[in-house]
Parts: sequence; C-alpha cells; structure tokens
Amino acid sequence: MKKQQLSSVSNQAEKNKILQLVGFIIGKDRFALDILMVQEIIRSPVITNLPNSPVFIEGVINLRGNIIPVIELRKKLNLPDSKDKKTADSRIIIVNVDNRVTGFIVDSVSEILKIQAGTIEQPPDIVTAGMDSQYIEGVCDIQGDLVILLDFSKILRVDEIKKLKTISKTTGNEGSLKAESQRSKARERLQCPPCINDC
Amino acid sequence: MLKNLNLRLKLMIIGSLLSIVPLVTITVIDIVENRQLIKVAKDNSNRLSFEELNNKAKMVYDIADTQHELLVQTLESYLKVAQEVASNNGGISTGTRTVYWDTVNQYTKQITPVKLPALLNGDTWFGQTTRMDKNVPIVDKVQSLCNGITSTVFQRMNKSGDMLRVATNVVKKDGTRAIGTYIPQINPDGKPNPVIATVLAGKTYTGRAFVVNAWYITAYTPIYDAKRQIIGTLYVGIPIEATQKLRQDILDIKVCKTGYAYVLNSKGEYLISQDGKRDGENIWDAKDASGNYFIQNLVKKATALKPGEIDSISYPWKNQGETKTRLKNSKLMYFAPWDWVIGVGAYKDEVLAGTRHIEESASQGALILTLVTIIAFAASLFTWFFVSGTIARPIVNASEIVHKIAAERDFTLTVPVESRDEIGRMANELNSLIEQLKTAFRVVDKSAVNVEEHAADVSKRATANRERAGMQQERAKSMQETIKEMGTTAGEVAQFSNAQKESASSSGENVDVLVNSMGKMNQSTQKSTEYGQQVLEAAKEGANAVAETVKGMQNIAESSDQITEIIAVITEIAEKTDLLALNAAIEAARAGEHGKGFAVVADEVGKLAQRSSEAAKEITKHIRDSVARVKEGTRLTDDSRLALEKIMEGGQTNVEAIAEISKAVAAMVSDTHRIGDEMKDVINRSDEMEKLTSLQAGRSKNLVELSESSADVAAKTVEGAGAVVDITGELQHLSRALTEEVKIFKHEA
Repeated sequence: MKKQQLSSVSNQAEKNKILQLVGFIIGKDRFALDILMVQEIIRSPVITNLPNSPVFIEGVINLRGNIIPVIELRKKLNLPDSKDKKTADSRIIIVNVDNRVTGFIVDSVSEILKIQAGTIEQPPDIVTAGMDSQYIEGVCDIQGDLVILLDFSKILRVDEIKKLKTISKTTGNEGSLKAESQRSKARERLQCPPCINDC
Repeated sequence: MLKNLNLRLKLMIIGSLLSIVPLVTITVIDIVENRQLIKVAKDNSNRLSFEELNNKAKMVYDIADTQHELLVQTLESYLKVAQEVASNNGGISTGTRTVYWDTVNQYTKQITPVKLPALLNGDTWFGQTTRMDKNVPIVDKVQSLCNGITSTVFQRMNKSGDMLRVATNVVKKDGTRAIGTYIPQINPDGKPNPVIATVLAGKTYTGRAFVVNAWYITAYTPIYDAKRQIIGTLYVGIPIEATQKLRQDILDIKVCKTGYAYVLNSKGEYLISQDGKRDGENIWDAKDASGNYFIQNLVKKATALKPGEIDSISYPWKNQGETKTRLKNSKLMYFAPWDWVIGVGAYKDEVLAGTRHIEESASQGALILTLVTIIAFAASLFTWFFVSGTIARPIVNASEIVHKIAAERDFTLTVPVESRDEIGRMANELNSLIEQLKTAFRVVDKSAVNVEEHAADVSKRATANRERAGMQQERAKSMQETIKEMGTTAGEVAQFSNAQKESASSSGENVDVLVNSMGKMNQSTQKSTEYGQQVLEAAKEGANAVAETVKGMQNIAESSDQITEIIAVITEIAEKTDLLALNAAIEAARAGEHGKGFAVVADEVGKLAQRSSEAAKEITKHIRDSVARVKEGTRLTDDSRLALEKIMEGGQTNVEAIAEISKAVAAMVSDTHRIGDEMKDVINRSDEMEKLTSLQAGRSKNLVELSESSADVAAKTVEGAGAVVDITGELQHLSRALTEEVKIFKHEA
C-alpha cells in the first residue's frame, strides 16, 4: 500500500502529503510504522507462553477478551539483546495486517511522527538485497536521527504466517474470552499429538 | 629465583624448556649410543680382519706344506725310477779308459784339470756330451719317463769325495748340458758340504737347492760299484713351483679390497708379489713411508717363528700409483723347508671401511639432530615470546594502571578490558573497585567541607563565649579589688576605732561609702550571674536549635518519602496519559479528516503527559539529593550538639560559682546595713564597734578568698571556652586537612 505511494514519487502532491507514523524504539535504534496499521498500543500485560510455538512467538495475551499472538520484534529483526529486557517502558503495538491481529513487543513507543512523504528515502540496495530485509520500507531523517520505516505486512514470511494462522486457529480470534479459551484449550489438547508428530 | 622474574620471562623459560629438554636428551642419547655402536663395530671388524688375515696366511702355509710333502714323495719315487733305469742298463761302474776333465768348482769357479776313469752304464760310456741332440744314457731316459724333472749323474773325483757332473739333462742358459762342474766336499766357508757328507755316509739327501735357474727340491743318493765302493751320486730334482696352480692360488688370495698375499725368501727377494709384477726383485733395502727398513724387520721376525706360528707387523705403505700413505697390517709365517716368508696384508682403512660408513652416518645424524634442536629452540623461543606477550600484556597493563593510580592518585583512570577470560574479569573487578573508591572519595570530600563549615560556626560561638567569660573574669577581678579595698577599709575602721569614736560623723560617711561600694559589688555579681545565665541560655538555645534542626530534618525525610510515593503515582498517571494520547492519536488518524481536531488535542495531552513525567523525574532526583543532605546534616548537628553540651557544662559551673559569690555578698550587705544602723549607737558602743569592725575585717578576708575562688572559676571558664575553641579549631584544621587529602585524589574528570 505504502510502497505504491512511494513508487509514484513524481506526483508533487503525493510528495507533500503528510504521513502519520508511530515511532518506537528497540535498543538504541528508532523505527516507525504507518499509523493506519496500528490498532492500538498497550502496556505489556502478562504473556502466556504457548507450548510448541515457533521461536519468534513470545506467547499470547488476552486483550479485552481477544486472544492475540505476541511477537518479540527484537528477535524477529535479529537485533542484539539488551541487558534490561523488561522495562516499565516496554509496549506492545497491536497491529492489524490483512485482518490478522498480532502484537509486537517493542522497548518503548516514542511519539506520533508527522512527516512529508517526500522525505522518506529508499533504503540502500545492499540492505534490501537479502530476502529477509524486504520489510524495510524506507529511511527517514528526523531531527538528526535516522528512523527506519518498517512494513509490517511483510515482516513475517509465508511459512511464519502459516504458523501464526495455526495459532490463530488454535486460540481463536473472536467470541467471548471464557468460552473461547475453554474451547481453545480443548482444541490444543486435540491437536497437540499430531503436532508433536509433525515436529 | 623464578619468583622474581617477570611473568613474560617465566612463561618463556618454562615453555622453551618443555620443548627443548626432550630434544636435547634425545640428541645426547643418540650421540652416546652412536659412539658405543661405532666402537663395537670397529672392534668387530678389526677382529674379523685379523682372523681373516690369519686364515689366509695359514692357508698359504698349508698349501706350501702340502706341496712340499707331495714333492718329497714324488721325488723319492723318481729317484727309484732313475735307479731302476740305471740297473736295467747294467748298473754303473768305472771302465778302464781314461777321460780328461777341466773341472770347475761350482762355488769358486776354479778350474782344475783332472784325469778320471770313464764312468760306464753297463758297457756304455756316458760320454762328455754337452749337446742336447745327443743321447745320454739314464738322464734322458729318466726325463722321458718323468716329465719336468731333472736328473744328473755325478762321478766321485777323489778320495775326499768331490762330485763331478758327468751326465745331466739340466740345460744351461747357452742351451748346453751342465756338465764339468763339481760340488766340493768342503764349502768355501770351510764347512763340509751337507750333500756330500750325507751321500758319503751312504744316505739319501733331500732338500732345497738352487739349480741353474730355479729352486728345486732335490734328492742325492750314492752310486755303488761291485765292490760296494761309492763311485758317484745320482741326483733327481723337481722345481718347487712345479705347478702353476700353487702360484696362481697364492696370487688369487684377496683380503678386503686390495689386500693380497706375498712370498719373500730370507734374503729379501720377491718370490710371489702382488699379481706377480715384481717377482724376482730384491727388496731387502726397501723402506716404508716413514723410512724404516721394514722388509729386513719383517724377514727377521718371520725367520724367528716356529712352524705354524703366526706373527703380525704393521707399517705405512704406499702402492705404486697411489698418492696417500696407508697403514698396512701384515700376518707373517715362515715355511722353513722352502725358505718362504709368507705374508698376507691388508690396509687398515679398508678393514674399517664399513665402520667408517656407520661413523659417517652417525655423525651426520648427530649433526642433523643438533641442527633440529637449535632450530626447535629458536622456534620455541620465538613462539613463546609472542604467546607469553599475549598472556602477560593485559596483566602488566593492569598493574601499570593500578601503579599509576597509586602514584598519581588519579581515579579517573581505568584498566583496559581486552578479553572475557579471567584476566578480563580481573580488569573489570579492578575498574569497579576504582569506581567505588572514586565515589567514596567524593562523599568524604563533601562531608569534610561541611564539617569544616560547621566547625567554623561552632568555633565562632565558642569564641564569643570565651569573650563573655573573659568579661566576667574581669568583673570578678574588679570585685575582688573592691573587696580587698573593703577589707582595708574595715581594717582602717578597726585601727581607727578610737578615732572613730571621735569622728563618728566621718565614720558614718565612711559607712555610707562602704554601703555604696557594697551595693556596687552586689550589682556586679548580679551582672556576672546574668552573663553566666546568658551563656547558659545561649548554649541551651543552641541545643534546642540543634534538636529542632534534627526534628525538622526528620520531617523533611518523612515528607520526602511521601512525596516520592505521590510522584510514583504521578509518573504512573503520566505514563497512562501518554499511552492514552498515543491511542487517541491513532484513533484520530483512523478517523481521517474528521479526527484532525481530535488529533491536535491528543497531541497536546501527550505533550502534557511527557512534561509531567519529566517534572516527576526531576522532583524524584531533587528529593533524593535532599534526603542525602539531610542525612549528612543530622550527623553534623550531632557533632555540634556534643560541643554545645560541653559549653553548657562549663557555663553551669561558672554560674554556680557566681551564685555563691552573690550569696556571700548579700550576707555582707546585710551586715553593712546593720553597721549603718548601729553607727548611730557607735559612740555609745565603740567597744562593740571595735568588735564588729574586727569581725568585719575577718569577713572581708573570707570574702577575698571567695572572690578569689570566683576568679579561679572564671579563669576555668575562660580555659574551658578556650579548650572548646581549641577543639573546634583542631576540628576545623582536621577537616581542612581531610579536604586537602581528598583533593589530592583526582576523582572527577
């Protein structure tokens, strides 16, 4: 979606268009994502570990009755581990990508950035050369700091999305919490043995 | 010793030793073993070569011995053949014909003409035949029967027994038969000829003899006539080297590479030389490479040997066509029947050729090992130089930094951390230790400055106290003087009581003066009491102030705790607000154009939340600072409280003393008043007056004593105050010194 906007840079009006981004920090690095992808930002609640889940999935949380998988963005982006992992500033950004609600753990959410679309620069080719880094949408200079724009719709690979779907199926995404969680537990029990065999 | 070396050297020495000691040991063992091996090899090859030489010598000797035996037997049978031939033809006898001979002595070559009866074989005269083509009886027949042997018929020339060759098949060099020579009965040396002697004795002589041109084994047997008279001699001879085989066998003998067997006779003539090249040469006077007549030596040694005995000789020898002189070992034997000196010789270096190979390879091996050892030593030194450097450098760096910190007292330095191993951890620990020290010094510095300030304050107050006490002392002194004056006055009163009687009015005046001065004194004591009280009050006020300060500080601490709690709540609220603002902004963005106004509000709320969060953080920091200061203040006020307590103690004693003075003065005042009252009756009661005045004098003395003690007390107070000033001064001095000491340490960049 955004890519299309960026590709048609010839259009002056597009260039001047103000974009709103949600800026967040992991370690010392600053990142941003389009505000329209964000459903909500919450403080990190209790994260329930999911047995037999992929490495990058931290667990699931209960957001007002909805069970949402949570991903540690630091691990996903292969950023170095910081010493103080869980701080009071730690946040979960709830993102809605193609109607799939997923939480991403970040170190802190800094602010809402308003920038002109023209100030976003393409990342260097050497960065985007690998398959994995296609989710870097652009780089933007904000008051001397470099902010990396991420496209969350590309952040997960196909196989990872498949795994996430399995979890979504397992845990469910709508319905009342109590009934759903009971049902999901029942499903887990039913589905675990074949899963173990698969693994 | 190893302890005193530095770490790097230690590592280098240990590492190099570990790699070098085994190599050196192997090299030494190898060299020693090789030496032993070479010695054994040398001994063995020497022994083997000796045995071989012995065997070869013995072999030659045995060949000669066998040959000799064989020859003798053959000769005997040939002799019989010759005798048989003679008897077949009719025996040998002397005829009647006379034959003339020019006989030649075979030794002296002296010619003697002789007339002899012709010697016959059967009826045939032997004839004086020198020509080979003419047949001669017996000798030619014998030669045809026994190939290669010589035979001769001798005729007895005279009674003494000289034997003349009359028929022979021995050929002279000119191709004629060797007749006409005779063997004299007496040799030129004067001894009887052994051949003649044996034959004349009727026996057969066998032995070696040189005939014409070669050595022969010969046999001589007597010829008898019919009367059994010896009329001649029959000779048969076989050349010693009858078969070339014997000679070839000896020539074929090879020892080692170039060693060979040779045969000399006792005159030093070469009979069988190497490859037969020098046969017949006389080498009697040959010298070896060092100039000795070694052949003479050799022959002398050999001829002294018994049959079958072996001797050895060694001499330096240079063969023809060779450039180097080599030591030659020879084994000697002597075969007497043939006068053969048999020698078998070999060069020593050839004997030891195999050993030399071993020696060469051993020395090469030792050289290679030594080279390897040296290279390994150098390599290990090189390697350990770097390895030890890598290990020791961080430690050395750390120790240098610590030394620098100790020397320069600079806590801003840090030890570089280069690795994560034990050394790196040590460097980390050192850094944290330095950090701790730095922090501690900062605190000490600050406290010392504070203590100095407070001590200055206390000192100021103590100085003021001392001044007051000084004033009090002065007053006590003036009081004392007044009392003394009063005592004097009372003395005067007593002294002049009689005059007083007369001058009652003037006395009354005097009493008034006394009363006045009493009043003054009373006043001054009251004042000094007042001052004492003031000091006490001031001290108490100080104590109170200190106590209040402590209380206030506690209050501050309590309220700061409360504030901290409140601020935590505020921070929490601010964070939540911030989050709320973020979410509001997201919602506003999603609302699009409609949400723009709301977005502005959300932004503002967010900013507000951030500002309040920052303010809360600031306040928390300030509160933390103030709590720390309060703690320090509490400690300092405690110190000043102690100082004030001391001052109060001194002031209390002072006041008590003054109160005592005051009491005494009051008593005096009442007495004086009574004096005043009774002055009116003084004229009437002069005696009483006298008594009273003397009493007065006594009391004034007491008073003087009391005032003196008061002065003492005041002086003590001054002293006490001085001590306080001194203490505080010292405290100030100490804290200043501490501050300076701390300042030496550089703990702030």
